[in-house]
Amino acid sequence: MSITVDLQKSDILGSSRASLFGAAKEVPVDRFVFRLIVSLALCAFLGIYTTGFLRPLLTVISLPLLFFFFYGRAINSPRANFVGQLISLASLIYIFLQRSGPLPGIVLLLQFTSIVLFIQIVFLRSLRALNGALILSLMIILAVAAMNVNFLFPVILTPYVMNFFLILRWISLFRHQAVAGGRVKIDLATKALKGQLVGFFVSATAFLVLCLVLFYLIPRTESLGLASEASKRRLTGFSDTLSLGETGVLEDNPAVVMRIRPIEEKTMSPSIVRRLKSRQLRGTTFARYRSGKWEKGRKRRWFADLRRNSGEVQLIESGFSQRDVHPFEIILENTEPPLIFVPDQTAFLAMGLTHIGVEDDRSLYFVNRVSGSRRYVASLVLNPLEVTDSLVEAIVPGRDTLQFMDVSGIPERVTNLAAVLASGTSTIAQRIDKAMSFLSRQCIYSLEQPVTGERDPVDFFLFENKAGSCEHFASALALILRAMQIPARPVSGYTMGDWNDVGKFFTVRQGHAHTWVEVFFPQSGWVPFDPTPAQVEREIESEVEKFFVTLWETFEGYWFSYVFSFDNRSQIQGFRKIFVAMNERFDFFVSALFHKEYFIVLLLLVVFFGRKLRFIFRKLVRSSNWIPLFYLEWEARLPVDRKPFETPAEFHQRLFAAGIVNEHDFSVLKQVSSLINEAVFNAGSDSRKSFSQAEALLRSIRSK
Amino acid sequence: MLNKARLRFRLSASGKTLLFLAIFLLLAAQNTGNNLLYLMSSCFFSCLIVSGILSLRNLAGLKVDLLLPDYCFAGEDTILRCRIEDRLGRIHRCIGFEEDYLACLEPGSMAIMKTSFRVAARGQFLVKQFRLFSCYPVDIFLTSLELPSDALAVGPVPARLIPELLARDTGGAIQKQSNGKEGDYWMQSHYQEGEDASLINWKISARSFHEWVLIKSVNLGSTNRLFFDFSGLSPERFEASLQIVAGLLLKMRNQPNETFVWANSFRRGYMWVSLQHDMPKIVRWLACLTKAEEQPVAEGSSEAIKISQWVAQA
Repeated sequence: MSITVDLQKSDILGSSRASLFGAAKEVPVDRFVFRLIVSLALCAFLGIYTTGFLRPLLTVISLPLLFFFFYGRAINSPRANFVGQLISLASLIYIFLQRSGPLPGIVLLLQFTSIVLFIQIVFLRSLRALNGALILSLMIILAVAAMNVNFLFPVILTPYVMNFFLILRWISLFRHQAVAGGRVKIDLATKALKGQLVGFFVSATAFLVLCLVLFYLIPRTESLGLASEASKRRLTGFSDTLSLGETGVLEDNPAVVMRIRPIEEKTMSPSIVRRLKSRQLRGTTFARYRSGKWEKGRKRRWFADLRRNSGEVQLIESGFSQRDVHPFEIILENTEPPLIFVPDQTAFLAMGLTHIGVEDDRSLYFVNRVSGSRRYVASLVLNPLEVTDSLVEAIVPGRDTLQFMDVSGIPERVTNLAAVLASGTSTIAQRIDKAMSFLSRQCIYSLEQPVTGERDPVDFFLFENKAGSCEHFASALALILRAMQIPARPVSGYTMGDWNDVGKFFTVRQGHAHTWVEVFFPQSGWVPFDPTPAQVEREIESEVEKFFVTLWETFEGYWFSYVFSFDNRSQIQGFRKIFVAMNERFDFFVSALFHKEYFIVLLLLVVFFGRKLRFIFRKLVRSSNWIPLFYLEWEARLPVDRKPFETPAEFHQRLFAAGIVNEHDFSVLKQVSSLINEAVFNAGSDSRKSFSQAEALLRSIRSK
Repeated sequence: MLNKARLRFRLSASGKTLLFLAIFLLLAAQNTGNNLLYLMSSCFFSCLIVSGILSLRNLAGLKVDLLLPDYCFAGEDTILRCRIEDRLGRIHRCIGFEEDYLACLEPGSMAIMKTSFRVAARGQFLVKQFRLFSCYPVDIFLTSLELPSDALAVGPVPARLIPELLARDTGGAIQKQSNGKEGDYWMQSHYQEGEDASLINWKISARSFHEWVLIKSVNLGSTNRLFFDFSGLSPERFEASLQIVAGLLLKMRNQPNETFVWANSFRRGYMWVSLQHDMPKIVRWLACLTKAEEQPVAEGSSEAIKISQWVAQA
């Protein structure tokens, strides 16, 4: 480091701040930091992995990174560096060409950033490159956060953040190293290490608390509506069309769509929970079928004014008693389209809204799209719906049923099958039973979607593959029933999901999406039937696994309730609660302040802790710090104050002259002062031993 | 603040990136209502706040003194020391002073950091813009403690070859140095380079910034009074003559007998200044002396050394 001597101005100048802090740019990165940045990149890649996108790419680039992690150094060759630059350029061109492809823009960005980060790490040479890699990894993490994939995110974020700060810590050492022109290290002496650990925990706690405080206190505004479609959660199967065999990109994603929390204690009993597990949450229906694609029927929607009924919607008018009603709070994530998912046999919906949208098929919609989550209360009737069977001839095509009897797109073989199955039956229930029996006997459940080519997927499912998903079963049943002149429609929605015994709520994930059929009965209306064979779920046998699964779901529950679904409404409620609580505490404090007991307590505190306070004050204002603390503590108890400039020996002399200490004590104090002097001023002496001897002598005087 | 040093801090490149991202994410979160973006934004903000506080605390509460040497000469390495002391009972980490580095300063303890520099020409210099700096705890904030500036007189480059005429060893009693306390009259004096290092009194030296030597039975002996007459010199020769004077004085300073030089003490003008005890004043006079300056004639009896005459003889 150079000190500048300016002879013209007669100045001797220290190194400028720019040269002190900017000297580290070209410092080579050591093995430890290289491994840290590799693990940081792996964390970022894991974040992308949880979104379900780019898995092959991530596998390809993570394996070499693992090798580099163990190898501990980057490739240092100008030619290889040039090749890396070329790969970056090629990936940029590739991404540019893919911009109109099926992948969302944010995924393309992730793809490009991942490749560049990989190249940056493989050819990492200096601190400048390390900074670049840090920023790239941050971009990845932020893009993953923007994609709104919850629950797994914090699990990845925690090691990422720790890794990130560890790298920043090392960069700070690199800066000192560059200025010092040699290696500098963290002081790892036992005492310093203990202090560092304590400091680390204090800082980490402060960071965590501050992070949470800021998270809950940052004012949230309503969405400005400028967000891109990619940043919103789009639920597959709930748009205007439903394509059979279409696997959404978030199919395997464990992302939670909603959480259903029983409000009353009676609902949480195991028997009721078991019954509730078979319930379905209705989303939307489809009417027209054209070669594997279902489309919505007439798009007639009207708005229901809920103000007349205190924000409530009544869905079942009679046939239940209040005792059988079980209210649930449904916390629905901000979804697109803004569907209101309604559990089967819901008697009332309490929305807290002025209007909701209602369609012909009784699908319910939110009128406005808002940011954050939606909360509403659904009151369920536990008893199953009693269906009154009718003859098929009793069905009169009307406005509600006509579009669901459309047979125009039904394949010929399906029509023939329906005719065979319908023979010998006359009522709706009999025909349904025949069709469902056929499906359960002939077809098996499978999520594998073979390529059907130009063949109709339902035809292929029923007569060739004989294996399919819930969409295939529901479509087949609906088409067979329509071919039998019975109004039927497939319904998209969710099953009730997993019950969390600790948090006492159901968790409905993207993977719980389901399709079933609603059949029209002239006397009972639309009745749901699920043709999909029941899946044998793997029972968790190990207690340890059960414990961890419960723990994980509990974490998910809290994360969902207190982080993910936290919105401006929750924030305002929180502020209100804090304000009320503070008001109450303030009132209590004010009332206590004017009580005589308060003054008595204050007086007692002053009497008992006065000496201690005096000691603390002296410790703070002491002019010299060479006098040990135990001596200050001892002198704080004396009736005479030691003057700031007085040495212990001089003070002892004054104490003796004033008659405060006797001759024997004075001789002891002489020893004390000489021991202190020896400990402080004699470099060769054992200061710890001298201090402990002095302290013991003082204690002997104090005990008298 | 416990000293006059000014505490300053600024964001590093990583810190600036983090701040930008925190603000950007906050806007993005406000726009989309995405709670994960709120979380990330608050995470960045809290990181900035916590590391900022830790950075400030790391250098705050330090008593810092820039210790300039009493005197120094041009063309020689000069050590600049910085004494740092904790006054608030806190631990301080990763402190740098120029190329010196201190990993940890324990609570209540003191440390001296140093650097060196070399000045090419004599003069009165202002030592400024020196600072303690730290990147603790992470590379987000860069903290520095700007030290107050101070003046330093740098004497001329001492000539190594002193002309025979001037380089005489005058007589006088030899001080007897000893390591004990025996004797009727003794005193402590600064250790000079070349003296026996085993005679250094470490008990006293440890409490001071200088090394002290016990001098026993000082015989004051005869004293010299030197008056350097710089008149009649060309500007080039004036500088050369200053260098010779500096070399001569350094040599005479090691001699046992007391020497006084007719020099400007600045506060009280020209007077006899002890070479042994007031060397900084003499160096300062040599550092600031200009050719145009008129020297008053020395008071009392003295040995006048007319430099121009000598130069002419040489």
